Amino acid sequence: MLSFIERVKVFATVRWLWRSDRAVAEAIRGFQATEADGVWHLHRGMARVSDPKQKAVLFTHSLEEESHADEFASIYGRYSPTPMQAKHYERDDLYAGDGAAWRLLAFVNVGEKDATERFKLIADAVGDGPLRDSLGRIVDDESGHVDLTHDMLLRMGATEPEIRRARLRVRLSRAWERWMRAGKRVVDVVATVLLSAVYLLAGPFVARAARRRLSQRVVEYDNSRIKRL
Amino acid sequence: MRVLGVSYGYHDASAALVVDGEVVSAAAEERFTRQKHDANFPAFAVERLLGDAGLTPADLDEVAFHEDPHAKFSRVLCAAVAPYPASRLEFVNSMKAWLGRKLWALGSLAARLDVPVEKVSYLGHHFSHAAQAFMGSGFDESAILVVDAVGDWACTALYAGRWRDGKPDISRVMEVAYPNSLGLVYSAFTAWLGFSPNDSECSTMALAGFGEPRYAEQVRAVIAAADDTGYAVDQRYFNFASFYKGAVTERFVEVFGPGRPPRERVPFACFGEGGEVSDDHRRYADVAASVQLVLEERVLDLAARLKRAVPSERLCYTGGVALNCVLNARIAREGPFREVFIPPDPGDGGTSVGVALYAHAMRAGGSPPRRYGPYLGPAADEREDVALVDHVNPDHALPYLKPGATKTAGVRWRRERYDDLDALAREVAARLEAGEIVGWFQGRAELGPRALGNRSILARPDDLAVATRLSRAVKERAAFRPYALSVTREDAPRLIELDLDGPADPRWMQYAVAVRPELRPRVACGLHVDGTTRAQVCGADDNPEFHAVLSAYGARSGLAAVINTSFNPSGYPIVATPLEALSMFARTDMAALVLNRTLVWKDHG
Amino acid sequence: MARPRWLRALSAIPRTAARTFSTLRAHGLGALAPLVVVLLLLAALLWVINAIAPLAPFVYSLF
Repeated sequence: MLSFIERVKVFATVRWLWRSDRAVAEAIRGFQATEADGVWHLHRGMARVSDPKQKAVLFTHSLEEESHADEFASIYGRYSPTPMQAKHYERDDLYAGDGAAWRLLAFVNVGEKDATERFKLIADAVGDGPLRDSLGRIVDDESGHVDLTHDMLLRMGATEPEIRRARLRVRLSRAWERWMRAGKRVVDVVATVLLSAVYLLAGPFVARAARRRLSQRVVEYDNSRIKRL
Repeated sequence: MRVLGVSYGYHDASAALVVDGEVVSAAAEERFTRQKHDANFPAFAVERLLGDAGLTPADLDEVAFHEDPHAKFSRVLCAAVAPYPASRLEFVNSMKAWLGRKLWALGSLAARLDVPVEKVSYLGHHFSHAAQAFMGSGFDESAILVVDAVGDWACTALYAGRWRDGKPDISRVMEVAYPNSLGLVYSAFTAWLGFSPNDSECSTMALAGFGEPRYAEQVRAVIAAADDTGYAVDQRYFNFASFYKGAVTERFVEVFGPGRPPRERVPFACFGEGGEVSDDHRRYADVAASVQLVLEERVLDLAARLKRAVPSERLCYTGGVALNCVLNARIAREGPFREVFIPPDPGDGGTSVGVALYAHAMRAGGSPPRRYGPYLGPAADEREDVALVDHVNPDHALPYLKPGATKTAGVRWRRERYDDLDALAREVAARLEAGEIVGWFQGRAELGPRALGNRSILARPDDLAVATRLSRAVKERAAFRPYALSVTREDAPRLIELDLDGPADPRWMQYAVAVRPELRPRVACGLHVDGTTRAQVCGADDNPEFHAVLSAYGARSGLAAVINTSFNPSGYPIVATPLEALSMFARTDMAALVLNRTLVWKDHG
Repeated sequence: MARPRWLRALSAIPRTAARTFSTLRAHGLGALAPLVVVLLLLAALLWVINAIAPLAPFVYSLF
């Protein structure tokens, strides 16, 4: 059922929202940021793994993710005339504090499974072109990662029931994040409408004062004092 | 007394820790989040700086913020409503950011650090810049010039600084108000030239070297000379307040022609073969040369005005525009001051240092602090991470190398630890001479955008093939952008035409200097087309490890100078951890990597 | 007795608003003060909506 909803969502997005190259480029910018974010999390996690063999496996894995980020950055240019300005997240160190290092991997495992499915759906929905080619390559890599990270979880000492519980926790937290994001989007729309109304109604009364102030060439107010609220 | 300086909200967020008047540490948030110019609250930088010092926020006596959010809000609001009815998008988006977060920065700073709001202080943005330069200079009196894009309301500011009764006394001579901004003009030209504004201004400066200032009169009309403020920007050419419409207006395009499409290759090259130069490419270079020239004229005029108002022999110069090394060199060479100080990070990333030093001095008093250097960032112990080298199979990474990198199967990674610095330096020098590209990661990270021998990539400067490989298979760097040279203090007089005891402090790659013609062939790949280089003169006291490598290379080649470029993949900040350094080593044609005292290399068997 | 920390943090809000108005006047922008009053009220409203953001998709789907 969830998969069906996801399929419909992706189809609708690709069909109606990605009508212009600019919209596709913006989506690619988001994919690039997600892959780069994944590398960052992997590096944070690797710093807490002491076994050099496991570290080496995760390291190679992070190289792949980094190359995916580069691939998205590169195809961005096929859809946009301007150079890509990387999208920034306020980073959240999900695995700060104490706790087994394999919990990070559970997060990575779920993230990759979701990304693989979503990229596959998008590749099916978009027409022929550089995005489809790139997604095809990346989906192949990511499918291998899902098995690899599961195998790593076991090697790092997690039991199957623990893995299931950790995955469930990750899934719940990701679902909660999605819900929150949806809520924030609604707030964003409300804010846009209200602020636009304020602008249109109040603008004529304040624009002249603002223009007058901007025409002054020097700052008269002396702000050279340290202050507190 | 402990003061934490914090800057965030626009670009280059950073934190700085001042304890008993000394800058203990400072770092940009981008180094921890791998997001270039990260503007978010510097949570990771703060955590790391305090952690390294064994402190918690509760131990701080004061938290100082780098700008006045109320003044900045008034400017942003003013700019957003003035173009009514054409600025709805700007108004809506800027008000969302300001009403939702930025206006409440002081309260949220207190909340995030869990300190009482009474402990939080703030200072005007340009004043933070001024404090950063004056308090970091070690001078007891000085003229101060800040040239930036825009802060609270000011874009350019002139101050007089002196140390009086145990406290700094920085008084205002003049502040030029938004939108009269030299920094914004240069950024707008950068955008028109197809580069990223607020990031690639160095590309505009580099391109200028290939052009002739044929459009100087037109640019002088855009940035006119003015009696009161030194210059006046004709706003009809720019969209500073309606940036969704693009950086420049139709009037601008009528004068300078259409801008460069960003994806189009720039055909100029500092070394090796360039491409075919069309009339349009010539025009882009000429316009870049023109805006560079007029910027130099206007800032030199500001320096002269400042000298008339503040009869000091010393200048502290800072702000984002102070990253322009060609202009800096002219200020040192032709300006009216006998000594010039530019802080290691003159951009917004350095304002956290300024506000922290100033807040400390105003509360605790004392004498002028010592001149601080750039090595203020965190160090990293490589010993645990580097053990993975024994277990990596580089063949597995072959599909994921950078596009220009050489894909050779069967390579193995090796490592060796050196307890003797000189032996390590000799080994690196031998590899450089053999044409290898070497990553050099040592000690504490630099504050600011320049790699000064602690997070650097090194290569020999006289081999075209090596430099080409460096550009294509390591840095992914356009050929028109020159590399910089690092040279020992001992060999510097032989190499560059610069009086080492003159106005400019040449240690931090802040000045473009001419290389002596007879030695140019020996450093040909570290030169701009006009025979200049952005030199770092490194003494044994400045950076002993880096000096040892340069000296060892000099012992082999006869000249202790190498190409020194920042250790970062294209589009990312300079690496901060051994793992990030190893990633770049893995995916590029870097042949060897030094992580503190451990050498890692690719063994082709 | 010292005020609790949350109360002190809360007091930053009216202080910020007051400082914003005094700064506007100091910069010769008193004419923008009524607009800023409206914007601050709007900010309060948006804060409330934001606080119930987890419920928002449900609430707003009702109408």
